[in-house]
Amino acid sequence: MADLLPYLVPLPVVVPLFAAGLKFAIGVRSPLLNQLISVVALALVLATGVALLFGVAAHGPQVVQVGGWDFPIGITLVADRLSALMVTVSSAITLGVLVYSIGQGIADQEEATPLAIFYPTFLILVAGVSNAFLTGDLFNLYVGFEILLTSSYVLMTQGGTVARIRAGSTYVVVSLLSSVIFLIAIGLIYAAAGTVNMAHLAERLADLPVQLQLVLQVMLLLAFAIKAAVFPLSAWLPDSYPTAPAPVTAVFAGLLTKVGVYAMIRAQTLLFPRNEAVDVLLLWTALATMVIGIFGAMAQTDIKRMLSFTLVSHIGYMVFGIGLASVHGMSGAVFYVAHHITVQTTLFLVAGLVERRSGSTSLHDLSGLAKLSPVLGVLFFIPAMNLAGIPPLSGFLGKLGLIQAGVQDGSPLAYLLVAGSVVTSLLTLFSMVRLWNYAFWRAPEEGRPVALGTLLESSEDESSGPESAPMAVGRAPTGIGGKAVMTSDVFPPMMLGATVALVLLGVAFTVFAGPLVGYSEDTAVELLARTPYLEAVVGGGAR
Amino acid sequence: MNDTPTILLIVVVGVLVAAGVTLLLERSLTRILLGVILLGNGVNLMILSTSGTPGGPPLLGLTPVGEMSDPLPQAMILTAIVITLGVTAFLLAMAYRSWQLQGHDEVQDDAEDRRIATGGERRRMRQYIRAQRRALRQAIRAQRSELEAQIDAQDQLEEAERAVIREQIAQARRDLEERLEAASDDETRRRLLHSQAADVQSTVEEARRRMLRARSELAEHLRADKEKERRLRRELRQRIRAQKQQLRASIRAERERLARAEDSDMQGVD
Repeated sequence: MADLLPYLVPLPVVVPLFAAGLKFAIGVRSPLLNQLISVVALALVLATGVALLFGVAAHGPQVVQVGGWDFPIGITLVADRLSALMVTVSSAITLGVLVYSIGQGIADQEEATPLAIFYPTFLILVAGVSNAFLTGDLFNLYVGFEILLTSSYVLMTQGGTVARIRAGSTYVVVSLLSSVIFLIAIGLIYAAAGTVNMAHLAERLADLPVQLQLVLQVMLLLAFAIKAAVFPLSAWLPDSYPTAPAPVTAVFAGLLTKVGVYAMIRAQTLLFPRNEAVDVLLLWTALATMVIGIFGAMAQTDIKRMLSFTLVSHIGYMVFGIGLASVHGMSGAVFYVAHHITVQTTLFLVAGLVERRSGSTSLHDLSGLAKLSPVLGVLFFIPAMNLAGIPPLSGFLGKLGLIQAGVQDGSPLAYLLVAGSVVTSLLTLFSMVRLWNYAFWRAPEEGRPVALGTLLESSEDESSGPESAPMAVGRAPTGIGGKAVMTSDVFPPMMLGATVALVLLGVAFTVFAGPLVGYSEDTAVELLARTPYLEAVVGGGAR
Repeated sequence: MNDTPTILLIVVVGVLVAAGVTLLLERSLTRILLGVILLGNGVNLMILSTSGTPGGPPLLGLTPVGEMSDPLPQAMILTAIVITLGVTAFLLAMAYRSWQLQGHDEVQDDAEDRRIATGGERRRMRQYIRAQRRALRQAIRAQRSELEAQIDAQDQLEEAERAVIREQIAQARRDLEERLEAASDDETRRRLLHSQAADVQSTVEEARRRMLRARSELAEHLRADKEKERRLRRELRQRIRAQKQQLRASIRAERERLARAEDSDMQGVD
């Protein structure tokens, strides 16, 4: 059984790519088959992820040398505990979002054209994300980033409406810049160390002059920090995310920033372990990200924008854990990444449901949702409290772990960050309660509710004439392809089911917190020791 | 690995990257696209320079192993070129779409900035309204205190008049008693009493009339003042409402203008 494990490693990359190709071949003729292929592919990825999760925990990191080229020459795929966890959580999330978007697509009766693009692009995005998580080669990491970014460009600008093109421009240009910085860093690293294999680099980089190491490390971190939306490199995120369709925003918010965080963890543990100056820099940026991000969230009156700012803010917690560079800090960061992927995605999906119910996500318009739609109230309340870190939910456990790690570190800066994270948690609670009070708990007549069954004509839609209200720009709910949507009291069962499943997944993190914390501690030990990874890659394991 | 790249390559890389970054800072997507292309080429050349001095093609049997050039940077550059090509095509499509929709391909301001801008307008308006309210309240307060002073003066006047009347009544009584004592027989006394009483009655009557008149005058005054105050308040309320409406209309017009600027279908419709 253990012999077969390495063969599983490339599957999360290969299966979605293969399925995407298959779908392009099928085309738009059979939407049902298309959807079936997507779901089966992602379910396969999820199963692979779970198998890897247990296999890696039992047998150590699994390595595949792609194409059979030996260790320093070929591209290496590595699944260690961190990769396996990330692949599992991300595939669970993407599966949920896929089901949600299928439900939305059916409900909105989209024409086939945008769908034919949506599903394959989504699968390619998943392949890119998995590639970034599994790769053991710095240049392949760049390729993985490019795969996921390019498909995210397509998803972000889908429908080609004015608002999305505008938001997409910012997003594409910023992402391109980060890619160029990453590529320059790779070129410099190759020039300095003569290899781009991460395990090989881990051995060689330590021999370089300290100043040169610092330059390379900071360049890599800069590229990753733009992707992870760490302050002050985060301004693009709240500007671009809210315009995309709900499922797209949900998966972007959950995954793409976390890929940046994952890459930062790798850079800080495997490539450049123990550089005090950089750790201090990371801690300061973590503090700024947390506090400034949450201040932004407090000022928002639109649910999606508010959630985007909380996303930025909570990236700070993960950077905090990375910056501590201790076993506890790293374990807290890993646990928090897994928790936050789930919670943030769920919240954006719920925002999509709110938009479907009320035709708006603006707090000025929304009111009385708890009375009008109690299901929605429950679905929002649990992940919102989870995000704010109310005991006993997993958000609380993640924050507690990080705070304990900070106290254990004991330096004044660590204590400052502990204080900052407590304040951020409180302010997150404040903004969530504010959202709750406005959208859910106000008397229904206080807002400007849109009557049920109203066709909200999207002025983003090209076909809408000049008589369409220009006020509705950016507010009217739009489906995947930017089409107009009916407000409705009845949610499509697949949308609701996917959201419920993700809420339950978030709750499961709480129920199974014991084993999960144990797993993330093992992960942190493995990451900081480096030897299991290096031994697995360098010492045999070649195939 | 032979690591002596030519200086020429480095200079070209510098120029390309500098030009690329400059273009990247522009607002038009087409220029950004050109910047991305230049930047990509610059970085690719940089990676090429990491392979050291040029050698023979890295093919076994064709070139001795020692004289081969490093193949890995070339492989990386090829990958990077393909990626840049894809992204360039996408950016080009996006720029074209933007031009199709809006007539230009410039990246516009953030919605947040816009909100802050209209927020400033609102704040100014609120301050203005607050100042006006404060001025009205002061004016009303001044009027009230003036009125109170008037009422006080009137009260004093009344008091004085009352004292005078009281004095007169007392005087009349005294007169009456004197005369009663002076007159001996009953008949004259009764007559005298009668006429005296009529006298006193008329005096008192007159005083009361005067007092009533003064009072009604005062009430009239008060009513007029109150009326004036009410009118002032109403006027201010109307003025504030009109101003608020105007502000709201201007904000709406601004929004429409922005929306129209974003929506190509709306262009030239007004």
